Amino acid sequence: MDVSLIRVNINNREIAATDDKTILQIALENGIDIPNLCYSQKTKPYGSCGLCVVEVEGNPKLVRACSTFPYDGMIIKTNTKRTIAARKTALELLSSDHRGDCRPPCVNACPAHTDCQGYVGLIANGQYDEAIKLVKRLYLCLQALVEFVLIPVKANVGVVKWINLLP
Amino acid sequence: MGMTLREVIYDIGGGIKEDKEFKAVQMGGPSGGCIPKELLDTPVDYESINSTGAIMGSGGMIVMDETTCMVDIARFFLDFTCKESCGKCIYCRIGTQRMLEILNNISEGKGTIEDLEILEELCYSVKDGSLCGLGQTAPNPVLTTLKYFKEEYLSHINDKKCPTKQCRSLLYYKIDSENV
Ligand code: SF4
Ligand code: SF4
Ligand code: FES
Repeated sequence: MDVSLIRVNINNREIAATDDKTILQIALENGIDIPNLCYSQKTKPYGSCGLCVVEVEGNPKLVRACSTFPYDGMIIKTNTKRTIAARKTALELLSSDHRGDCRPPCVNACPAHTDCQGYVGLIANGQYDEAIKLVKRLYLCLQALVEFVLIPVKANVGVVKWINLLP
Repeated sequence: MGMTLREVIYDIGGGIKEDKEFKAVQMGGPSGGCIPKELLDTPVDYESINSTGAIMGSGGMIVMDETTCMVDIARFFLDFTCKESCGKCIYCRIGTQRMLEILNNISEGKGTIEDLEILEELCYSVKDGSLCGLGQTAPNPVLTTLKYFKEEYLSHINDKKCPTKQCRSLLYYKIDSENV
C-alpha cells in the first residue's frame, strides 16, 4: 500500500501525518488525548465502545477516531460538547449493564485462578465474611493484596469495612 | 409516489375497518416512525415522509386506529430492534435496552417524568453514537410517538391511565354491585 503524506488539523493544530494511521493514532502520537476503551495497539480496530468519537468538519455524524483513517486536509475536533456528552452517555450505559456478574476474559485467563469477580460481587452484596473466605482460599499472600490492591482504593466504603475484617 | 397518505389509506386501502377513527400510520417498519392524523395529507415521497420523522423504508404502512396505544406501539417496535441489535456498540446494545425498560415501566404505570426526559435524551444519544443504520434508526418510533403523542405518555405517567386501555397493568376492574 502506498503511504502518502497528509496534513490534518486537530483542535486547530496543523499536524503532518501519514494516511496509514488512524485519527486516534495520529492524535496520541502528537500528545492529543482522545479517550478510548476498546482500542488496542495489538489488534485491528474494533470500534465498539464509542468513547473515541470526534467531530469531523463536513460530516454530520460522529466519527470513531480509532477506526477512521484521515484524508488530506481533514479538520477534526476532539473535545466538543457533543463528543463529551456522547462519551459520558456511553460510559454510563456501559456501567448500567455491569454488576460484576459475568465471566470476564481476565478471570478465564488468570494464571493464579483468582475469582476477583466472585469476591467483588460478595462485597457488593455486603457479604464481607464470605468474601474474605474466598480471598483467603485463593490468595496465598494476603498482605500483598491488601497493600497493593485494597489500600489504594480504600476510598470505597465497602473496602474500608473489609480491611477491618482482616486478621 | 406523490399521492397523499390519506389517498393511499382511504382510497386505495379502503379506510379503516368498522369505521373506527384513524390514529396514526407507521412507515418504515421498526426503524420508521408514527405519523399522526394531522399529517395525513403528507405526500408519499422520500423528503416529505422523512420530514415527519418517519422513513420511507420499503414503503410499508401499518395503519393504527383509535384503539391503539402509542406507548405500547413504541415498546413493540423497540422490543424488536433491541433483540435485533448485533451487540457491537454500547449505545445500541445497552441504550435500546435501557429505553425498553423505561417504556415497560411507563406502560406498567411505574414511569416518572424524569424517565421521559431520560428516554428522549437516550433516543438522541443512541441515534448519534450507533455505528450502523439499525442503531441510528432504532429510536425513531419512540421519538415520533413522543413528538406527536406526548399526552398519551403523560397520562400513563401522571394519571396512571392508558387512554386506549391497551396496557393491561393499568386496567382496574370494578364490580358494579347495583347492576349485577
Ligand atoms: S470483565 Fe466482565 S464485567 Fe468487566 S467488562 Fe468484561 S465482561 Fe463486563
Ligand atoms: S448500531 Fe449496528 S453495529 Fe452497533 S450494535 Fe447496533 S446493530 Fe450492531
Ligand atoms: S476506542 Fe472504542 S470505538 Fe474507538
